[in-house]
Amino acid sequence: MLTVAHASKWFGGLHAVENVSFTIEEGALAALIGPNGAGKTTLFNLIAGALPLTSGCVYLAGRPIRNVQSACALGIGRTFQNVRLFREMSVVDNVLVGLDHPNFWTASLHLPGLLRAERANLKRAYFLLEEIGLEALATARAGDIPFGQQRLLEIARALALSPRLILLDEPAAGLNRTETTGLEALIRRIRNRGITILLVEHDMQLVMNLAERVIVLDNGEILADGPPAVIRADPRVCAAYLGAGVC
Amino acid sequence: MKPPLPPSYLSLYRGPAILLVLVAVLPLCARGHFSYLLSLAQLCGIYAIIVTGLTLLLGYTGQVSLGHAGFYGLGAYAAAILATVCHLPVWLAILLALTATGVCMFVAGVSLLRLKGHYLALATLCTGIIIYEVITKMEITGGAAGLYDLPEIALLGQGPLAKTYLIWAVVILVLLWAVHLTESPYGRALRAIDGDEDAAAAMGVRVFPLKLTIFIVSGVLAALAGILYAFVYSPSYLGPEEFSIMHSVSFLIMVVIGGMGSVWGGLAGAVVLTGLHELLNLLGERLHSTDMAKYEHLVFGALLIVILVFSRDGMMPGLRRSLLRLAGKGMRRA
Repeated sequence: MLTVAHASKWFGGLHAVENVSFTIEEGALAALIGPNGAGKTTLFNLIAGALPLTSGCVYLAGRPIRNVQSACALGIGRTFQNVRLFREMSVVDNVLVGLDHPNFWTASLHLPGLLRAERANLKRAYFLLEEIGLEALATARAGDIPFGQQRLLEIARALALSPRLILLDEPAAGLNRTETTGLEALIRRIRNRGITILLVEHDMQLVMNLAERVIVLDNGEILADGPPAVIRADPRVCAAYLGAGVC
Repeated sequence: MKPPLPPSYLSLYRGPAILLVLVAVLPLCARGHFSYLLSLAQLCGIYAIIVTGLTLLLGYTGQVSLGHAGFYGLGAYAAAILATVCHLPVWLAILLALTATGVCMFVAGVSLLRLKGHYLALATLCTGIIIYEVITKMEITGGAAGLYDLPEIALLGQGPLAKTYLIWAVVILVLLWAVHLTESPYGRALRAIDGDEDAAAAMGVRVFPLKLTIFIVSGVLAALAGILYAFVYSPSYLGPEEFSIMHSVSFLIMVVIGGMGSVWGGLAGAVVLTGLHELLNLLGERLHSTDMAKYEHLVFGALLIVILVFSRDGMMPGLRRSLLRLAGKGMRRA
Protein backbone atom coordinates (compact mmCIF):
# COMPACT_ATOMS: atom_id res chain seq x y z
CA MET A 1 0.00 0.00 0.00
CA LEU A 2 2.47 2.68 1.20
CA THR A 3 6.08 2.22 0.19
CA VAL A 4 8.80 4.56 1.37
CA ALA A 5 11.95 3.74 -0.61
CA HIS A 6 15.29 5.17 0.51
CA ALA A 7 13.69 8.48 1.40
CA SER A 8 16.07 11.24 2.46
CA LYS A 9 15.44 14.87 3.29
CA TRP A 10 18.22 17.33 3.97
CA PHE A 11 17.78 20.92 5.08
CA GLY A 12 21.17 22.31 4.13
CA GLY A 13 23.63 20.38 6.27
CA LEU A 14 20.91 18.89 8.52
CA HIS A 15 19.91 15.35 7.52
CA ALA A 16 16.34 15.33 8.87
CA VAL A 17 15.48 11.99 7.25
CA GLU A 18 18.22 9.66 6.03
CA ASN A 19 17.66 6.67 3.75
CA VAL A 20 14.38 5.55 5.33
CA SER A 21 12.62 2.56 3.76
CA PHE A 22 9.51 0.68 4.88
CA THR A 23 6.23 -0.65 3.53
CA ILE A 24 2.82 -0.55 5.17
CA GLU A 25 0.16 -3.04 4.11
CA GLU A 26 -3.36 -1.97 3.17
CA GLY A 27 -5.67 -1.63 6.17
CA ALA A 28 -2.80 -1.69 8.69
CA LEU A 29 -2.46 0.60 11.68
CA ALA A 30 1.17 1.55 12.12
CA ALA A 31 2.80 4.06 14.44
CA LEU A 32 5.87 6.17 13.95
CA ILE A 33 7.58 7.06 17.20
CA GLY A 34 10.82 8.61 18.28
CA PRO A 35 12.27 11.45 20.34
CA ASN A 36 11.67 15.11 19.42
CA GLY A 37 13.68 16.02 16.34
CA ALA A 38 13.87 12.41 15.15
CA GLY A 39 12.33 13.38 11.79
CA LYS A 40 8.81 12.00 12.27
CA THR A 41 6.92 15.08 11.09
CA THR A 42 9.40 15.61 8.23
CA LEU A 43 8.76 12.04 7.11
CA PHE A 44 5.01 12.70 7.37
CA ASN A 45 5.40 15.79 5.20
CA LEU A 46 7.37 13.75 2.64
CA ILE A 47 4.64 11.10 2.51
CA ALA A 48 1.94 13.78 2.22
CA GLY A 49 3.84 15.47 -0.61
CA ALA A 50 4.18 18.70 1.38
CA LEU A 51 7.98 18.59 1.15
CA PRO A 52 10.06 17.49 -1.84
CA LEU A 53 12.39 14.54 -1.25
CA THR A 54 16.15 15.09 -1.46
CA SER A 55 16.44 11.51 -2.71
CA GLY A 56 14.37 8.35 -2.76
CA CYS A 57 10.70 7.94 -3.51
CA VAL A 58 7.32 7.45 -1.83
CA TYR A 59 4.64 5.33 -3.50
CA LEU A 60 1.00 4.78 -2.68
CA ALA A 61 -0.47 1.68 -4.33
CA GLY A 62 2.52 1.63 -6.68
CA ARG A 63 2.13 5.23 -7.83
CA PRO A 64 4.69 7.87 -6.90
CA ILE A 65 3.74 10.85 -4.72
CA ARG A 66 5.23 13.98 -6.29
CA ASN A 67 3.45 16.79 -4.45
CA VAL A 68 0.44 17.58 -2.27
CA GLN A 69 -1.95 17.42 -5.24
CA SER A 70 -0.83 13.94 -6.25
CA ALA A 71 -0.95 12.81 -2.60
CA CYS A 72 -4.58 14.02 -2.33
CA ALA A 73 -5.50 12.51 -5.68
CA LEU A 74 -4.05 9.16 -4.64
CA GLY A 75 -6.05 9.25 -1.40
CA ILE A 76 -3.86 10.54 1.40
CA GLY A 77 -5.59 12.53 4.13
CA ARG A 78 -3.69 14.10 7.00
CA THR A 79 -3.87 16.03 10.24
CA PHE A 80 -1.20 18.40 11.54
CA GLN A 81 0.99 18.38 14.64
CA ASN A 82 -0.38 21.81 15.60
CA VAL A 83 -4.08 22.00 14.75
CA ARG A 84 -4.46 23.85 11.46
CA LEU A 85 -8.14 24.39 10.92
CA PHE A 86 -9.71 27.14 8.83
CA ARG A 87 -10.49 28.97 12.05
CA GLU A 88 -12.77 31.68 10.63
CA MET A 89 -14.93 29.15 8.81
CA SER A 90 -17.71 27.08 10.34
CA VAL A 91 -17.14 23.50 11.47
CA VAL A 92 -19.17 22.09 8.58
CA ASP A 93 -17.40 24.34 6.05
CA ASN A 94 -14.06 22.93 7.24
CA VAL A 95 -15.28 19.47 6.27
CA LEU A 96 -16.88 20.67 3.04
CA VAL A 97 -13.55 22.08 1.78
CA GLY A 98 -12.32 18.56 1.14
CA LEU A 99 -15.51 17.34 -0.52
CA ASP A 100 -15.81 19.32 -3.70
CA HIS A 101 -13.53 21.42 -5.90
CA PRO A 102 -15.54 22.85 -8.79
CA ASN A 103 -13.79 24.80 -11.50
CA PHE A 104 -14.09 28.53 -11.96
CA TRP A 105 -16.69 28.41 -14.74
CA THR A 106 -18.97 25.93 -12.97
CA ALA A 107 -18.93 28.16 -9.88
CA SER A 108 -19.44 31.33 -11.94
CA LEU A 109 -22.50 29.96 -13.71
CA HIS A 110 -23.92 28.40 -10.53
CA LEU A 111 -26.16 26.05 -12.48
CA PRO A 112 -28.68 23.76 -10.69
CA GLY A 113 -26.19 20.86 -10.92
CA LEU A 114 -23.91 22.75 -8.53
CA LEU A 115 -26.74 23.08 -5.99
CA ARG A 116 -27.52 19.36 -6.28
CA ALA A 117 -23.85 18.50 -5.71
CA GLU A 118 -23.72 20.92 -2.77
CA ARG A 119 -26.79 19.27 -1.21
CA ALA A 120 -25.08 15.87 -1.47
CA ASN A 121 -21.87 17.33 -0.01
CA LEU A 122 -23.74 18.83 2.94
CA LYS A 123 -25.33 15.46 3.61
CA ARG A 124 -21.94 13.75 3.57
CA ALA A 125 -20.34 16.46 5.72
CA TYR A 126 -23.07 16.11 8.36
CA PHE A 127 -22.67 12.35 8.24
CA LEU A 128 -18.93 12.69 8.94
CA LEU A 129 -19.58 15.19 11.74
CA GLU A 130 -22.16 12.87 13.26
CA GLU A 131 -19.70 10.00 13.09
CA ILE A 132 -17.18 12.05 15.00
CA GLY A 133 -19.70 13.56 17.42
CA LEU A 134 -19.52 17.15 16.25
CA GLU A 135 -22.83 17.55 14.41
CA ALA A 136 -24.23 19.79 17.17
CA LEU A 137 -21.38 22.23 16.55
CA ALA A 138 -21.74 22.21 12.75
CA THR A 139 -22.46 25.92 12.40
CA ALA A 140 -20.04 27.09 15.11
CA ARG A 141 -16.86 28.94 14.13
CA ALA A 142 -14.09 26.34 14.03
CA GLY A 143 -11.71 28.54 16.02
CA ASP A 144 -14.26 28.81 18.85
CA ILE A 145 -14.78 25.12 19.62
CA PRO A 146 -12.76 23.42 22.42
CA PHE A 147 -9.28 22.19 21.56
CA GLY A 148 -10.14 18.49 21.84
CA GLN A 149 -12.97 18.94 19.38
CA GLN A 150 -10.70 20.88 17.03
CA ARG A 151 -8.46 17.79 16.92
CA LEU A 152 -11.49 15.65 16.05
CA LEU A 153 -12.58 18.14 13.41
CA GLU A 154 -9.17 17.85 11.75
CA ILE A 155 -9.73 14.09 11.51
CA ALA A 156 -13.25 14.60 10.09
CA ARG A 157 -11.77 17.02 7.57
CA ALA A 158 -9.18 14.45 6.50
CA LEU A 159 -11.91 11.79 6.21
CA ALA A 160 -13.81 14.06 3.83
CA LEU A 161 -11.21 13.22 1.19
CA SER A 162 -12.31 9.55 1.38
CA PRO A 163 -8.67 8.63 1.98
CA ARG A 164 -7.05 5.24 1.53
CA LEU A 165 -4.28 6.28 3.91
CA ILE A 166 -4.66 8.73 6.76
CA LEU A 167 -1.68 10.34 8.47
CA LEU A 168 -2.39 11.38 12.06
CA ASP A 169 0.30 13.68 13.46
CA GLU A 170 0.15 13.59 17.27
CA PRO A 171 -3.67 13.49 17.44
CA ALA A 172 -3.65 13.02 21.23
CA ALA A 173 -1.40 16.01 21.96
CA GLY A 174 -3.16 18.34 24.39
CA LEU A 175 -6.07 15.96 25.02
CA ASN A 176 -7.10 14.77 28.48
CA ARG A 177 -7.48 11.08 29.34
CA THR A 178 -11.23 10.94 28.54
CA GLU A 179 -10.70 12.66 25.20
CA THR A 180 -7.80 10.31 24.40
CA THR A 181 -10.03 7.29 25.12
CA GLY A 182 -12.62 8.72 22.71
CA LEU A 183 -9.89 9.31 20.16
CA GLU A 184 -8.69 5.73 20.50
CA ALA A 185 -12.18 4.44 19.78
CA LEU A 186 -12.48 6.76 16.80
CA ILE A 187 -9.16 5.60 15.32
CA ARG A 188 -10.31 1.99 15.70
CA ARG A 189 -13.56 2.82 13.87
CA ILE A 190 -11.61 4.46 11.03
CA ARG A 191 -9.35 1.44 10.78
CA ASN A 192 -12.39 -0.88 10.74
CA ARG A 193 -13.55 0.94 7.61
CA GLY A 194 -10.45 -0.41 5.87
CA ILE A 195 -8.51 2.85 5.91
CA THR A 196 -4.76 2.45 6.43
CA ILE A 197 -3.49 4.57 9.32
CA LEU A 198 -0.03 5.90 10.03
CA LEU A 199 0.17 7.53 13.43
CA VAL A 200 2.83 9.76 14.97
CA GLU A 201 2.30 9.92 18.72
CA HIS A 202 4.13 10.49 21.97
CA ASP A 203 1.38 8.93 24.10
CA MET A 204 2.90 5.45 24.39
CA GLN A 205 -0.17 3.94 26.03
CA LEU A 206 -2.23 4.95 22.99
CA VAL A 207 0.43 3.70 20.57
CA MET A 208 0.85 0.35 22.32
CA ASN A 209 -2.95 -0.13 22.55
CA LEU A 210 -3.63 0.72 18.91
CA ALA A 211 -0.70 -0.03 16.66
CA GLU A 212 0.06 -3.48 15.30
CA ARG A 213 3.40 -2.25 14.08
CA VAL A 214 5.72 0.42 15.43
CA ILE A 215 8.52 2.10 13.49
CA VAL A 216 11.06 3.92 15.64
CA LEU A 217 12.96 6.85 14.16
CA ASP A 218 16.05 8.35 15.73
CA ASN A 219 18.21 11.04 14.15
CA GLY A 220 16.33 10.63 10.88
CA GLU A 221 17.04 6.91 10.58
CA ILE A 222 15.00 3.81 11.41
CA LEU A 223 16.17 2.45 14.74
CA ALA A 224 13.67 -0.39 15.05
CA ASP A 225 10.59 -1.74 13.28
CA GLY A 226 8.21 -4.41 14.59
CA PRO A 227 5.19 -5.27 16.74
CA PRO A 228 4.68 -3.19 19.95
CA ALA A 229 5.82 -6.02 22.26
CA VAL A 230 9.10 -6.39 20.36
CA ILE A 231 9.69 -2.63 20.30
CA ARG A 232 9.04 -2.33 24.03
CA ALA A 233 11.62 -5.01 24.68
CA ASP A 234 14.26 -3.51 22.37
CA PRO A 235 17.07 -2.10 24.55
CA ARG A 236 18.11 0.41 21.82
CA VAL A 237 14.58 1.88 21.74
CA CYS A 238 14.46 1.98 25.53
CA ALA A 239 17.76 3.82 25.65
CA ALA A 240 16.96 6.27 22.85
CA TYR A 241 13.31 7.02 23.58
CA LEU A 242 11.00 4.92 25.75
CA GLY A 243 13.00 4.94 29.00
CA ALA A 244 12.62 2.69 32.00
CA GLY A 245 8.97 3.65 32.65
CA VAL A 246 7.70 1.85 29.53
CA CYS A 247 10.36 -0.85 29.05
CA MET B 1 -29.51 15.98 12.51
CA LYS B 2 -30.90 16.96 9.13
CA PRO B 3 -28.34 18.87 7.05
CA PRO B 4 -29.40 22.37 5.95
CA LEU B 5 -29.98 23.18 2.31
CA PRO B 6 -27.42 25.17 0.31
CA PRO B 7 -28.29 28.83 -0.42
CA SER B 8 -31.22 28.95 -2.85
CA TYR B 9 -31.31 31.10 -5.97
CA LEU B 10 -33.83 33.31 -4.17
CA SER B 11 -31.38 34.09 -1.38
CA LEU B 12 -28.54 34.61 -3.86
CA TYR B 13 -30.49 37.06 -6.01
CA ARG B 14 -32.16 39.03 -3.20
CA GLY B 15 -29.23 41.44 -2.87
CA PRO B 16 -28.79 42.18 -6.58
CA ALA B 17 -32.59 42.58 -6.91
CA ILE B 18 -32.68 45.17 -4.09
CA LEU B 19 -29.76 46.97 -5.72
CA LEU B 20 -31.59 46.96 -9.05
CA VAL B 21 -34.61 48.66 -7.43
CA LEU B 22 -32.37 51.25 -5.71
CA VAL B 23 -30.67 52.08 -9.02
CA ALA B 24 -34.06 52.28 -10.77
CA VAL B 25 -35.39 54.84 -8.27
CA LEU B 26 -32.17 56.89 -8.27
CA PRO B 27 -33.51 59.48 -10.80
CA LEU B 28 -36.26 60.35 -8.31
CA CYS B 29 -33.59 61.56 -5.86
CA ALA B 30 -31.24 63.08 -8.44
CA ARG B 31 -33.29 66.08 -9.48
CA GLY B 32 -32.62 69.79 -9.47
CA HIS B 33 -29.88 70.66 -6.98
CA PHE B 34 -29.16 66.96 -6.53
CA SER B 35 -28.52 66.15 -10.21
CA TYR B 36 -24.82 65.83 -9.38
CA LEU B 37 -25.80 62.60 -7.56
CA LEU B 38 -25.90 60.86 -10.94
CA SER B 39 -22.26 61.66 -11.60
CA LEU B 40 -21.45 60.55 -8.04
CA ALA B 41 -23.39 57.30 -8.58
CA GLN B 42 -21.40 56.64 -11.76
CA LEU B 43 -18.10 57.00 -9.91
CA CYS B 44 -19.43 54.85 -7.03
CA GLY B 45 -20.33 52.15 -9.56
CA ILE B 46 -16.90 52.25 -11.21
CA TYR B 47 -15.15 51.97 -7.84
CA ALA B 48 -17.59 49.22 -6.75
CA ILE B 49 -16.38 47.07 -9.67
CA ILE B 50 -12.73 47.49 -8.66
CA VAL B 51 -13.49 46.90 -5.00
CA THR B 52 -15.48 43.73 -5.79
CA GLY B 53 -12.40 42.26 -7.46
CA LEU B 54 -10.21 43.41 -4.61
CA THR B 55 -12.63 41.88 -2.07
CA LEU B 56 -12.30 38.53 -3.80
CA LEU B 57 -8.53 38.85 -3.78
CA LEU B 58 -8.01 40.27 -0.28
CA GLY B 59 -11.16 39.41 1.63
CA TYR B 60 -11.61 35.88 0.36
CA THR B 61 -8.18 34.70 -0.77
CA GLY B 62 -6.07 36.75 1.67
CA GLN B 63 -3.78 38.24 -1.00
CA VAL B 64 -3.01 41.94 -0.56
CA SER B 65 -2.76 44.19 -3.61
CA LEU B 66 -1.67 47.80 -3.56
CA GLY B 67 -1.50 48.00 -7.32
CA HIS B 68 -5.15 48.01 -8.34
CA ALA B 69 -5.17 51.67 -9.39
CA GLY B 70 -2.45 50.67 -11.86
CA PHE B 71 -4.55 47.81 -13.29
CA TYR B 72 -7.51 50.25 -13.42
CA GLY B 73 -5.32 52.63 -15.45
CA LEU B 74 -4.00 49.81 -17.61
CA GLY B 75 -7.52 48.97 -18.80
CA ALA B 76 -8.48 52.60 -19.35
CA TYR B 77 -5.35 53.57 -21.29
CA ALA B 78 -5.07 50.31 -23.26
CA ALA B 79 -8.66 50.69 -24.53
CA ALA B 80 -8.27 54.44 -25.12
CA ILE B 81 -5.03 54.03 -27.11
CA LEU B 82 -6.40 51.13 -29.16
CA ALA B 83 -9.53 53.15 -29.98
CA THR B 84 -7.91 56.54 -30.66
CA VAL B 85 -4.34 55.89 -31.80
CA CYS B 86 -4.88 52.52 -33.52
CA HIS B 87 -8.40 53.53 -34.65
CA LEU B 88 -9.90 50.15 -33.75
CA PRO B 89 -13.66 49.84 -33.27
CA VAL B 90 -14.54 50.58 -29.63
CA TRP B 91 -15.81 47.08 -28.80
CA LEU B 92 -12.72 45.47 -30.28
CA ALA B 93 -10.53 47.93 -28.35
CA ILE B 94 -12.37 47.00 -25.15
CA LEU B 95 -11.99 43.28 -25.81
CA LEU B 96 -8.29 43.63 -26.58
CA ALA B 97 -7.71 45.87 -23.55
CA LEU B 98 -9.36 43.33 -21.23
CA THR B 99 -7.37 40.48 -22.81
CA ALA B 100 -4.11 42.44 -22.56
CA THR B 101 -4.79 43.20 -18.88
CA GLY B 102 -5.55 39.52 -18.29
CA VAL B 103 -2.25 38.51 -19.89
CA CYS B 104 -0.34 41.16 -17.87
CA MET B 105 -2.04 39.94 -14.68
CA PHE B 106 -1.10 36.36 -15.54
CA VAL B 107 2.55 37.27 -16.09
CA ALA B 108 2.65 39.44 -12.93
CA GLY B 109 0.73 36.86 -10.90
CA VAL B 110 3.00 33.94 -11.80
CA SER B 111 5.95 35.73 -10.22
CA LEU B 112 4.29 37.93 -7.57
CA LEU B 113 1.94 35.39 -6.01
CA ARG B 114 4.87 33.33 -4.78
CA LEU B 115 5.29 36.17 -2.28
CA LYS B 116 3.14 36.48 0.81
CA GLY B 117 1.87 39.19 3.16
CA HIS B 118 3.91 42.39 3.24
CA TYR B 119 6.18 41.23 0.43
CA LEU B 120 3.23 40.75 -1.90
CA ALA B 121 1.80 44.14 -0.86
CA LEU B 122 5.14 45.82 -1.66
CA ALA B 123 5.53 43.99 -4.97
CA THR B 124 2.02 44.96 -6.12
CA LEU B 125 2.63 48.52 -4.90
CA CYS B 126 5.71 48.64 -7.15
CA THR B 127 3.71 47.22 -10.07
CA GLY B 128 1.14 49.99 -9.59
CA ILE B 129 3.89 52.61 -9.46
CA ILE B 130 5.51 51.25 -12.65
CA ILE B 131 2.17 51.38 -14.52
CA TYR B 132 1.53 54.92 -13.24
CA GLU B 133 5.00 56.05 -14.28
CA VAL B 134 4.56 54.54 -17.75
CA ILE B 135 1.20 56.32 -18.10
CA THR B 136 2.61 59.70 -17.05
CA LYS B 137 5.89 59.48 -18.97
CA MET B 138 5.01 57.95 -22.34
CA GLU B 139 4.05 60.00 -25.35
CA ILE B 140 1.39 57.59 -26.59
CA THR B 141 -0.57 58.03 -23.34
CA GLY B 142 -0.45 61.80 -23.62
CA GLY B 143 1.87 61.95 -20.59
CA ALA B 144 0.73 64.13 -17.72
CA ALA B 145 -1.62 66.00 -20.09
CA GLY B 146 -3.62 62.81 -20.76
CA LEU B 147 -5.86 61.94 -23.70
CA TYR B 148 -8.82 63.95 -25.01
CA ASP B 149 -12.04 63.24 -26.88
CA LEU B 150 -12.31 59.49 -26.53
CA PRO B 151 -15.21 57.67 -28.18
CA GLU B 152 -18.23 57.51 -25.90
CA ILE B 153 -20.22 54.34 -25.28
CA ALA B 154 -23.88 55.26 -25.32
CA LEU B 155 -25.39 51.80 -25.18
CA LEU B 156 -28.44 52.94 -23.19
CA GLY B 157 -28.59 56.42 -24.73
CA GLN B 158 -27.00 59.80 -24.11
CA GLY B 159 -27.07 61.82 -20.91
CA PRO B 160 -26.06 61.26 -17.29
CA LEU B 161 -28.99 58.99 -16.40
CA ALA B 162 -28.27 56.59 -19.29
CA LYS B 163 -24.59 56.54 -18.29
CA THR B 164 -25.54 55.79 -14.69
CA TYR B 165 -27.82 52.94 -15.74
CA LEU B 166 -25.14 51.50 -18.01
CA ILE B 167 -22.46 51.56 -15.30
CA TRP B 168 -24.77 50.11 -12.65
CA ALA B 169 -26.00 47.40 -15.04
CA VAL B 170 -22.37 46.29 -15.25
CA VAL B 171 -22.01 46.59 -11.44
CA ILE B 172 -25.06 44.39 -10.86
CA LEU B 173 -23.81 41.78 -13.32
CA VAL B 174 -20.39 41.79 -11.65
CA LEU B 175 -21.96 41.47 -8.19
CA LEU B 176 -24.23 38.68 -9.38
CA TRP B 177 -21.23 36.79 -10.70
CA ALA B 178 -19.27 37.49 -7.48
CA VAL B 179 -22.17 36.17 -5.39
CA HIS B 180 -22.30 33.03 -7.56
CA LEU B 181 -18.61 32.49 -7.06
CA THR B 182 -18.42 33.21 -3.33
CA GLU B 183 -21.53 31.22 -2.42
CA SER B 184 -20.17 28.10 -4.10
CA PRO B 185 -17.54 25.52 -3.11
CA TYR B 186 -15.10 27.66 -5.12
CA GLY B 187 -15.63 30.57 -2.68
CA ARG B 188 -15.17 28.14 0.19
CA ALA B 189 -11.85 27.01 -1.28
CA LEU B 190 -10.77 30.66 -1.54
CA ARG B 191 -11.60 31.22 2.14
CA ALA B 192 -9.67 28.06 3.00
CA ILE B 193 -6.62 29.52 1.23
CA ASP B 194 -7.04 32.67 3.29
CA GLY B 195 -7.28 30.54 6.44
CA ASP B 196 -4.26 28.28 5.90
CA GLU B 197 -2.66 27.64 2.51
CA ASP B 198 -0.89 24.42 3.54
CA ALA B 199 -4.00 22.95 5.14
CA ALA B 200 -6.04 23.93 2.08
CA ALA B 201 -3.52 22.20 -0.19
CA ALA B 202 -3.70 19.11 2.02
CA MET B 203 -7.47 19.12 1.42
CA GLY B 204 -6.98 19.00 -2.33
CA VAL B 205 -7.42 22.72 -2.99
CA ARG B 206 -5.19 23.77 -5.91
CA VAL B 207 -3.84 26.79 -4.06
CA PHE B 208 -1.65 28.50 -6.63
CA PRO B 209 -3.99 28.15 -9.65
CA LEU B 210 -6.86 29.52 -7.57
CA LYS B 211 -4.82 32.46 -6.29
CA LEU B 212 -3.65 33.20 -9.82
CA THR B 213 -7.19 32.99 -11.24
CA ILE B 214 -8.55 35.44 -8.67
CA PHE B 215 -5.56 37.75 -9.17
CA ILE B 216 -6.23 37.81 -12.94
CA VAL B 217 -9.98 38.25 -12.49
CA SER B 218 -9.58 41.09 -9.99
CA GLY B 219 -7.17 42.83 -12.39
CA VAL B 220 -9.54 42.37 -15.32
CA LEU B 221 -12.40 43.80 -13.23
CA ALA B 222 -10.22 46.83 -12.42
CA ALA B 223 -9.50 47.17 -16.16
CA LEU B 224 -13.23 46.93 -16.91
CA ALA B 225 -13.81 49.75 -14.43
CA GLY B 226 -11.06 51.73 -16.17
CA ILE B 227 -12.77 51.23 -19.53
CA LEU B 228 -16.08 52.46 -18.09
CA TYR B 229 -14.23 55.46 -16.66
CA ALA B 230 -12.63 56.28 -20.01
CA PHE B 231 -15.54 55.61 -22.38
CA VAL B 232 -18.60 56.33 -20.22
CA TYR B 233 -17.79 58.50 -17.18
CA SER B 234 -15.21 60.86 -18.63
CA PRO B 235 -14.78 60.40 -22.40
CA SER B 236 -13.80 64.04 -22.88
CA TYR B 237 -10.58 63.66 -20.87
CA LEU B 238 -8.52 60.77 -19.52
CA GLY B 239 -5.73 61.91 -17.19
CA PRO B 240 -3.23 59.91 -15.12
CA GLU B 241 -4.18 61.40 -11.73
CA GLU B 242 -7.11 58.97 -11.41
CA PHE B 243 -4.66 56.04 -11.37
CA SER B 244 -2.19 57.22 -8.75
CA ILE B 245 -0.98 55.05 -5.92
CA MET B 246 -3.22 56.91 -3.43
CA HIS B 247 -6.21 55.50 -5.30
CA SER B 248 -4.87 51.99 -4.70
CA VAL B 249 -4.77 52.82 -0.99
CA SER B 250 -8.32 54.20 -1.17
CA PHE B 251 -9.57 50.99 -2.84
CA LEU B 252 -7.96 48.95 -0.10
CA ILE B 253 -9.54 51.18 2.57
CA MET B 254 -12.93 50.72 0.84
CA VAL B 255 -12.57 46.93 1.12
CA VAL B 256 -11.52 47.04 4.78
CA ILE B 257 -14.11 49.63 5.83
CA GLY B 258 -16.96 47.86 4.04
CA GLY B 259 -16.03 44.43 5.34
CA MET B 260 -13.67 41.97 3.75
CA GLY B 261 -15.83 38.89 4.18
CA SER B 262 -18.57 39.76 1.69
CA VAL B 263 -18.91 41.33 -1.73
CA TRP B 264 -21.66 43.58 -0.31
CA GLY B 265 -19.16 44.99 2.17
CA GLY B 266 -16.93 46.05 -0.72
CA LEU B 267 -19.86 47.77 -2.41
CA ALA B 268 -20.76 49.59 0.83
CA GLY B 269 -17.15 50.68 1.27
CA ALA B 270 -17.01 52.03 -2.28
CA VAL B 271 -20.27 53.97 -1.87
CA VAL B 272 -19.41 55.38 1.58
CA LEU B 273 -15.89 56.51 0.70
CA THR B 274 -16.83 57.97 -2.69
CA GLY B 275 -19.74 59.75 -1.00
CA LEU B 276 -17.42 61.03 1.69
CA HIS B 277 -15.03 62.33 -0.94
CA GLU B 278 -17.89 64.22 -2.58
CA LEU B 279 -19.08 65.53 0.78
CA LEU B 280 -15.62 66.93 1.51
CA ASN B 281 -15.58 68.61 -1.91
CA LEU B 282 -18.98 70.18 -1.22
CA LEU B 283 -17.81 71.30 2.19
CA GLY B 284 -14.77 72.88 0.57
CA GLU B 285 -17.00 74.76 -1.86
CA ARG B 286 -19.22 76.02 0.95
CA LEU B 287 -16.23 77.15 2.99
CA HIS B 288 -14.55 78.59 -0.11
CA SER B 289 -11.57 76.43 0.71
CA THR B 290 -9.48 74.57 -1.83
CA ASP B 291 -7.71 72.65 0.91
CA MET B 292 -10.46 70.16 1.73
CA ALA B 293 -9.23 67.54 -0.76
CA LYS B 294 -5.92 67.50 1.09
CA TYR B 295 -7.70 66.22 4.18
CA GLU B 296 -9.45 63.41 2.33
CA HIS B 297 -7.00 60.68 3.28
CA LEU B 298 -6.84 62.01 6.81
CA VAL B 299 -10.62 61.58 7.09
CA PHE B 300 -10.47 58.15 5.40
CA GLY B 301 -7.72 57.09 7.81
CA ALA B 302 -9.67 58.30 10.86
CA LEU B 303 -12.80 56.51 9.61
CA LEU B 304 -10.79 53.33 9.10
CA ILE B 305 -9.49 53.48 12.68
CA VAL B 306 -12.98 54.11 14.11
CA ILE B 307 -14.48 51.21 12.14
CA LEU B 308 -11.66 48.83 13.01
CA VAL B 309 -12.00 49.72 16.71
CA PHE B 310 -15.76 49.17 16.79
CA SER B 311 -16.09 46.42 14.18
CA ARG B 312 -12.84 44.73 13.28
CA ASP B 313 -14.33 42.90 10.31
CA GLY B 314 -15.76 46.05 8.73
CA MET B 315 -18.91 48.10 8.47
CA MET B 316 -21.36 45.59 6.97
CA PRO B 317 -20.69 42.71 9.40
CA GLY B 318 -20.80 45.24 12.29
CA LEU B 319 -24.10 46.64 11.02
CA ARG B 320 -25.50 43.13 10.66
CA ARG B 321 -24.52 42.26 14.24
CA SER B 322 -26.07 45.49 15.56
CA LEU B 323 -29.31 44.81 13.69
CA LEU B 324 -29.43 41.23 14.98
CA ARG B 325 -28.78 42.50 18.53
CA LEU B 326 -31.58 45.08 18.17
CA ALA B 327 -33.92 42.46 16.75
CA GLY B 328 -33.05 40.17 19.66
CA LYS B 329 -33.82 42.94 22.19
CA GLY B 330 -37.10 43.67 20.41
CA MET B 331 -38.05 39.99 20.56
CA ARG B 332 -37.25 39.81 24.29
CA ARG B 333 -39.35 42.92 25.00
CA ALA B 334 -42.25 41.47 23.00
